[in-house]
Amino acid sequence: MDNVKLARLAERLLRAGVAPRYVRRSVEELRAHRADLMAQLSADGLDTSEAGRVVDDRLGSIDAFYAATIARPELLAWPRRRPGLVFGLLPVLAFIALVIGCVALTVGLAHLAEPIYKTRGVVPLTLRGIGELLRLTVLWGVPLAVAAFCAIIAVRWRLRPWWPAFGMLFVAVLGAGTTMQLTWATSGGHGSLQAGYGFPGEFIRMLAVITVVLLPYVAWSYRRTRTRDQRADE
Amino acid sequence: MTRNGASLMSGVPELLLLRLLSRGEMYGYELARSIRVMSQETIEVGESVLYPALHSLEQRKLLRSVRRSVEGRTRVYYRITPAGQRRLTALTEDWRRISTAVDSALQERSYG
Repeated sequence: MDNVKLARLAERLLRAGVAPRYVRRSVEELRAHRADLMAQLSADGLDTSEAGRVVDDRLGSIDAFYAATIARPELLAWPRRRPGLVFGLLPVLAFIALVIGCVALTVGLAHLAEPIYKTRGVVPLTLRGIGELLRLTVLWGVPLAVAAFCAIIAVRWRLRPWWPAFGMLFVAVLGAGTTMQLTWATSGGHGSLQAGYGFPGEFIRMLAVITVVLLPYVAWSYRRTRTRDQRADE
Repeated sequence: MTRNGASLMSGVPELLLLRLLSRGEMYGYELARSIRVMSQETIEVGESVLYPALHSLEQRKLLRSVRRSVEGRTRVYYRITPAGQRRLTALTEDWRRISTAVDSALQERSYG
């Protein structure tokens, strides 16, 4: 099992859904095992080519290792074992947590601005800018980041595209419906902060997630499947 | 054969690995060699079975692994956990019971 075969084994295991840490570990351990065995056989007096043959025989084929690994479902990555949880529930929770975090920061900013407003009668431009940035993060940044996170998990764990695509679409719908309005206090009036959700929301924001994250992911996934099929045909 | 018995037959590598690691921590190559020596070359746990079995035991919290650098080479050492010790005791008892049952069935004497 040389380095080329080990790399091929790693890719096959990843595609089968084996957790990346066990794939890396398997390759590392097989490589070390091979080196130990070679050293032992050389010390026993075998020449390099003969030792290499014995080592290959002892380590077996990558097919045998692959079969023995995928026969153990506990070694599969958790997104592969629980795709519904990872791409259905987790994005929603992450989305809500990030939105709440941004709203909390905006509230903190408003508290920070209050004494300044009382003394100067105006909220500094810097604080207004940060407030606007937080609002844009909630409306645009959070859905894009959560959808991108779904894509990264899917690519890293070589998952089939259905669940990740569903997760990204779900996040796009969530993001489109999210609203946040921040009004700073002006002379004689109070400021206000409003955040909520309204379906269907702004289509342009849904389109942004679909265009920036979902479509590139689907294209990558399609290309990957085609490449794999072509290799199989060869 | 009982359900436990059936899983025991397929769990021979698990029993041997837990037994060896109950004596002290070892890495993959050492384990493969030790199994061969311990079973007087009767049992050979191939590397294609050994590493997935070790990873599975670790995933089930029966083993813990630690990475160490020895003579410029990084090795993954495994050690048994308290849960692994309990599993070893249970597997050993199951194995002895089945072994005794098979022995007595192989005795050349009539029953009844």
